[in-house]
Amino acid sequence: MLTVPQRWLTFAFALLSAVSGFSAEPDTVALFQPAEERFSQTGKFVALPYENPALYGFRYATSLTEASLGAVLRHDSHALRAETGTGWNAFRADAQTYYLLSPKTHVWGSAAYERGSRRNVRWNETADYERLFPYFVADTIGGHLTAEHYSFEGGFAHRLGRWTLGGEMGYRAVLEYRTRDPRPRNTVAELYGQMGVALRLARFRVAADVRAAKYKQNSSIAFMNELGVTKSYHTTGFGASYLRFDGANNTVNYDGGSYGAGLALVPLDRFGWSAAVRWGMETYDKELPNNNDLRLTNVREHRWQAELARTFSLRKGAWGVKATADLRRRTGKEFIYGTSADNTFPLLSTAGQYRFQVSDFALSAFYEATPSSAWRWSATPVVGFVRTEETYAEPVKRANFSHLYFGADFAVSRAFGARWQLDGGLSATHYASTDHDWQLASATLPYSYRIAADNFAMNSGSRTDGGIRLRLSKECFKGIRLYLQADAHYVVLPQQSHRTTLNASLGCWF
Amino acid sequence: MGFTACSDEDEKIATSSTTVTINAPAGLNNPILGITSLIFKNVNTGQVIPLVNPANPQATSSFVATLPDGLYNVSAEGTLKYTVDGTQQETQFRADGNQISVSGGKATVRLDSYIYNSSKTSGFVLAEIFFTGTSTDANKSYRGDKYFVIYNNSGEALDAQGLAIAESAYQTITKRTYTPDVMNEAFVAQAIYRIPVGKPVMVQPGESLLLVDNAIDHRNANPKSWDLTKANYEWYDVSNIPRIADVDNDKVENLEKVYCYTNTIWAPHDRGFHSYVLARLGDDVKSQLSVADYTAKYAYDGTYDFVFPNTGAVKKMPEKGYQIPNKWVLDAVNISVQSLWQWNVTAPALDNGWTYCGLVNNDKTQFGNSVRRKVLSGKILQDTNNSTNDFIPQAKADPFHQFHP
Repeated sequence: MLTVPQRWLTFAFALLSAVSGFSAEPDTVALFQPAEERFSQTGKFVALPYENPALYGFRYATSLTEASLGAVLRHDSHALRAETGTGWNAFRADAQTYYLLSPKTHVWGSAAYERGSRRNVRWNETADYERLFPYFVADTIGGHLTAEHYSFEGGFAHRLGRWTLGGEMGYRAVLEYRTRDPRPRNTVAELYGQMGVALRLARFRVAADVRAAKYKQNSSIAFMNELGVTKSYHTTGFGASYLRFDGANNTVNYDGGSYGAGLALVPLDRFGWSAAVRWGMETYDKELPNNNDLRLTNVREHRWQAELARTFSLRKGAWGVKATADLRRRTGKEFIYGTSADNTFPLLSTAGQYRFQVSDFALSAFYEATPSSAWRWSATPVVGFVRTEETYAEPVKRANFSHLYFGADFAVSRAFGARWQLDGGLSATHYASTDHDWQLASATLPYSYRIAADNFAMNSGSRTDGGIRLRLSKECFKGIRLYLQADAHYVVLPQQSHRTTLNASLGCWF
Repeated sequence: MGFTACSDEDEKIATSSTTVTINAPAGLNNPILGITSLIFKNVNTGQVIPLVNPANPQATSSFVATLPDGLYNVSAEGTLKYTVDGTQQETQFRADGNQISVSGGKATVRLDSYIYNSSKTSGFVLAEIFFTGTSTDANKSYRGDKYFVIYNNSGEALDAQGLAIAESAYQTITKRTYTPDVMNEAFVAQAIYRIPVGKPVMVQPGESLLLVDNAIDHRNANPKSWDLTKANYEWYDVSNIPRIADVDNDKVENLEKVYCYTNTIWAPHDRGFHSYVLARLGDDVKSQLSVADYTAKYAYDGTYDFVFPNTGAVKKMPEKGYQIPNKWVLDAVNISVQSLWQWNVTAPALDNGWTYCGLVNNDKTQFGNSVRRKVLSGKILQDTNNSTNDFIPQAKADPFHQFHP
């Protein structure tokens, strides 16, 4: 006898089946198991512990190699944040593999290339805004930016008796530029490495890992207009700028890095208690190379993440509950200099003016049913609270707001015949604004004041996010499956605006 | 709800207890100062901190305040009482200090004041200076149409013969230590042109004289420029290089060339690196020196230390020009680039501020803009000897601008 939820999902799935024209229900465990391991809620509900390479390396029991070509179109009718623009249109190619080299050694790797256009970026000419705010280079012109992203990553995990060793290294590069004035050219290089170890103790594996990364961005703005240049601003938050060095100091370097560590505990047989805590610190200096590498500002962020989960196995399915906490604390420091003599600036003082904090607490659960080996469905509700606080010490400025959010995700996966599989899902989340507090007396320009005020209005208001996704896979050659995947998201934003995102990709896996 | 934790990174803003002491002008008997305005402007951030305002004056020549550490420009105004022949006199003073460091927990700021009388009406002033040139429809720069406007800012007709416009030898974007340092006594000029001496040039109250680079109809070459054939005067240079020749409209009287650093043709610096004064080469209209007598007596032969940035090596460099004593200066305007200003190149008593057209060096938005003096009331233009307050920066240039109906 089907339960009420099962009846609804069976109806939805019957609808999908009618559209697709398929109706057979054979056993397809072996064929699609690698995808099942990775895409099912049972497989991905517990997430944080597997950031340790020693645990990640033995997360899956099957090998999977995948390559795809895809595109993304994202459009905001009103920028959620002016500095990141109103859209991102990109083409992407990527490949990844997770390979069981031997029963004791697993390896993985990935490579990705993405090229796209960031649309209508305003008050920002620097790449990696989310890493470097509030200290970036801005101007009042802005425009579209072409961006290319490259990334490579590789890792391994090896069992030695009760011990597991794991390691991972990766490299990311970004090139961002514009072909009309003002012409920023930003190149980013980031190298990171991580080492982890896990020990089998009773019915658990306990693990620890450390991670470090080195980051560099070289940024410059050129002008081809024969009449001259426009003014650039070195932002310090809330639409303000470092007046003394504003102007034509268009060459900037960012130098920094990060390190972190984590502890984790996972059950041996996949079900039971799991826990993880992670801490990371990243820091970035902003320097003016044309002023004897003058260090203008420093931003530093600490991040603590924690996850506690309990999962249960059922005869035909699984369920679980999870509590998570994600705390970010960012501080910004300005370096104050005295009278310059021949382009040397004596350091007078430092001022820790800026602070940004995000505290996110959530409870989630999942229920996944596998009525037969040919299909499964899951429901994953979540409820949470997130508070964002941004302040500037002197003169006092602040932008604080909170949201209560709740949502759910429904997913269905169905195999048709020996060669077809269809995965689909619906999701919806509502962020309800519970309070907001804004104080800003002035900014460097009326233009930047409007930007700061608009960003606050867009980010502090309520929003609703809904999405749908579909993935159709078919075994076309022995052992090789092709797939077509598409998803769409629609977000209702404040100020009668919205965000539309479309993703599509064509790939294969084996 | 939020997550907070104390750590070394919770850096506070360092502050210092700052004592400001204003010294009375030298030579006065029993001077008593009272501060009515004391403002600290943070050079790094632009934050303005008013410590004393007219609503809350301080009957003292010193003041103590706690300020965030930083680099400041300081300006003070107030009342000054002193005794002359046993009788107390009262006037006003100003005092300024630029790029003063406040740090280390305790700081002392000493300012030398000078007498300033805000009620004194001015005579001739520089009402507008157009130095950027215009741009063409093809987005090229056009530089032949620069001009100065001299304005009678008094209530009576004044004789303009002998009025000289002069460009500073020093640059406002590069602060140097010159030897000898004569700024408190004289303005060092690298170009001086004056209205010929010998016949009266009467200018009515509220009327002006237009002095141009080339008195031609510039619209023929650049439709966005003007017809300057009706200018009152033009400056004309005989160039040593034939292919760089000046244009002379023989229907417009030439200014008398007193001195210029260049052997070709002169025009005001197009990005605003220099300052300008309006002066006479003599105590008054009737006692103006000839060019020969002036250049024989008022040459400036100075030096400054140039430090090579890569090696730190120091080389003494010459700085030549001619001095115009501050007492001969009728009006001064410090001009710079908004993001590059380092210092004023006139004595504070001549001009306590500065103005600009360009926001940055090579600012493409500066073309067609000038600095223009504000109207105070009726036919009187604002003249507080502070170009920051007295001028409209980036005004749309108009050689025929009507300051009053």
